[in-house]
Amino acid sequence: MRKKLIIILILLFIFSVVGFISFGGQIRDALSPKVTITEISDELYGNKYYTKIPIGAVKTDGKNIFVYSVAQTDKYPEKSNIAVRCPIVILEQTDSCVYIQIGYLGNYRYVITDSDKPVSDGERVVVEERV
Amino acid sequence: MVKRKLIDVISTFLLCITAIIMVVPIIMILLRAFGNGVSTYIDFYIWEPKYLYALSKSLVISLCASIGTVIVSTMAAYVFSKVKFKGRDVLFYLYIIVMMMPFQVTLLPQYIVSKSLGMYDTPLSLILPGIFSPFATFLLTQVMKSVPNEIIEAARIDTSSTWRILLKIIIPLIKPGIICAWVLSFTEHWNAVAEPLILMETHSKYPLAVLLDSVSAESTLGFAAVVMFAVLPLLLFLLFENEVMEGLGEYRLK
Repeated sequence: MRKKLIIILILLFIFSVVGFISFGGQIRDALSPKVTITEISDELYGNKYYTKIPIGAVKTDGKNIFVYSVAQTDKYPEKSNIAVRCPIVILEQTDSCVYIQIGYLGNYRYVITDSDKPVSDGERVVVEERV
Repeated sequence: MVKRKLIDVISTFLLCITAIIMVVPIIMILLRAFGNGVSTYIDFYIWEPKYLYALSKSLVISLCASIGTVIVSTMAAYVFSKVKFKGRDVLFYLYIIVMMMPFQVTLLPQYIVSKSLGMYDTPLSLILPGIFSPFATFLLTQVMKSVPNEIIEAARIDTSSTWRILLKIIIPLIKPGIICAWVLSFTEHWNAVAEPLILMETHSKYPLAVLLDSVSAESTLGFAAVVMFAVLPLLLFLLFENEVMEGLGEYRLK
């Protein structure tokens, strides 16, 4: 009885390691927020050029205004994206978008405009749609 | 009488202190590893898979090397214990000398050989040299010497095949010794730190034993990795406790 229990535990251990390595990517995909990302662009507004961000991407925590951009990470064995919180300063605003200083987001060219779950900084996300 | 009681009290007190010193680190590890409940293990398996991948590498390297060790050592032990040829004892003493040498002595030659064979930075650089373990050969030779030659001579009447004698007669007789050699070899490869550090350079290819040195006191994930690292050798020992004791006992008797 004792031996059987130990054998079961050893098999469980080995199967858990093999299983999570084989299907870890799918499990991570299933648990990660699915997001829609939108490409940002530099546009003329008034008589100045700004970076235009869709209003849906702009978030606030009460103190700061920020957007979530996406970056690739090699933390996981499979190709993955993580959300990166980028603080912004709004210079101009319309009903559908905000304008910030060009280059403020550095190399990030996409922002998260929609997600099925709340996203946090550094969290793995699955890009479902690219606009 | 009073003096004897006093000695008993002092020795019990000293033993208790020693026991506490031994147990406290294990309790600390368990408290930290299970402090956050299941979430640490969800991180271990899903969100921070670097330790899990290192664990799988440990598993592959240890299993391949230990199974290879047992196969090679069983054959070598048969030759050393049952086949008579010139220079057998000299060869066996050479084996013992290699066993007595600190393993660091052979690390540099292993590094050079694995570089020249193109195995450097691959699991093969750990598995192949690991297979030729002098300790397992020595242990199995001593165990095999306990098998009476009459049994082998009797078997020779039925078959002339040495393979059949080895597989059908000797291996079943020395099963505890083989299991003991396998468990010890598995544990040796599971715990190896210096060899992977010398024979591998890519961080993501390291087995778990190497990554555990980066575990910090604040990281519950690291402690979960420590627990997972300890589980398999412990279970193997519990499963094969009798065989290991029997195998080592046989070895001690010789």
